Amino acid sequence: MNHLTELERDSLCELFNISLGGAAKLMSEMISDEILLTVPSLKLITKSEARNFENLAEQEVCTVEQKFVGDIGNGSAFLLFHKSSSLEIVKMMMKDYVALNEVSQFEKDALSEIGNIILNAILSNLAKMSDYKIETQVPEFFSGKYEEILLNRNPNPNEDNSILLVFIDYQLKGKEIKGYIFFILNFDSIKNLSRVLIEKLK
Amino acid sequence: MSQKKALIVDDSTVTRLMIRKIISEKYPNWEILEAESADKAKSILPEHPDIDLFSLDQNMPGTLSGLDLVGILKSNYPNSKIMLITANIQDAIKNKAKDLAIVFIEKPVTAEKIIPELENL
Repeated sequence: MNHLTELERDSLCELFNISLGGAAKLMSEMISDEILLTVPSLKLITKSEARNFENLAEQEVCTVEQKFVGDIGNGSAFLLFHKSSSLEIVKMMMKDYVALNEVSQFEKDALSEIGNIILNAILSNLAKMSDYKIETQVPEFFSGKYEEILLNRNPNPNEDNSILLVFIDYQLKGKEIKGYIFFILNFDSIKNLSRVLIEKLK
Repeated sequence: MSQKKALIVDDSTVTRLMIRKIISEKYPNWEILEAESADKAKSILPEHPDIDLFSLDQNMPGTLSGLDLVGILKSNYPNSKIMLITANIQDAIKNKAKDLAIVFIEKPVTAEKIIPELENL
């Protein structure tokens, strides 16, 4: 069974703690408001476990996918929001730039840009801390049912991909906006990444 | 300040809108052009030999990246300022920008990051 040792898990948690701190700062700049982040929890789960995660399967979500290639292997990072939260985020981001009644026209583009910035910040930090080379591609936006977007689009259905799940809880001035970041990466790559981090921390 | 011309190259409508607004509020008489890819930007360059400022994203759909466009711009606009405004903040990209002597700005765009770069044009 695929599993991480406590040390491997800790090293990955530390990596994401640092990376998400930077990402939260960037998001605060984008929406001109303070964002409070809970400490991210990190889980390594299979696709079937991801299917049942947080009762998301049938929920409408918006997501930005950032594919990446490099020393770490090929994978995808996803920033995912509940559909109901996404417009709130866009309103906060765009209020100084367009009239509120025009915000929905910019929803896809604004969320894509948020995803681009957040996911690139995390991947850049990951590359820096591990000394891995990572090349990112142009991010893509999708909306629809979580299950169809995150789980049914795998181009290699027979590959035993694990999902490195980082759960984040955003708090925006009394509004509870939940966001999730998923990394889809095969287990060996995740294991190698944690080993490299442990070596760096020694 | 005399009228200047800027070209914003970014596949994100929102980012182009933000950069346009930041420049326009500071310098309302500037002419601002937009392109949604580096390929599109390359195709419109012959019509505009007088661009003073280029704002480039790095990763865009098409055959050229922002940095791919820099060589062409350096040859044809030797006195213009080039800013790479990108979410891709990996050291390799930063180092390439440094080697090419262009300005590197990390997204998200803010007036505080962009306005100082406009002041000596």
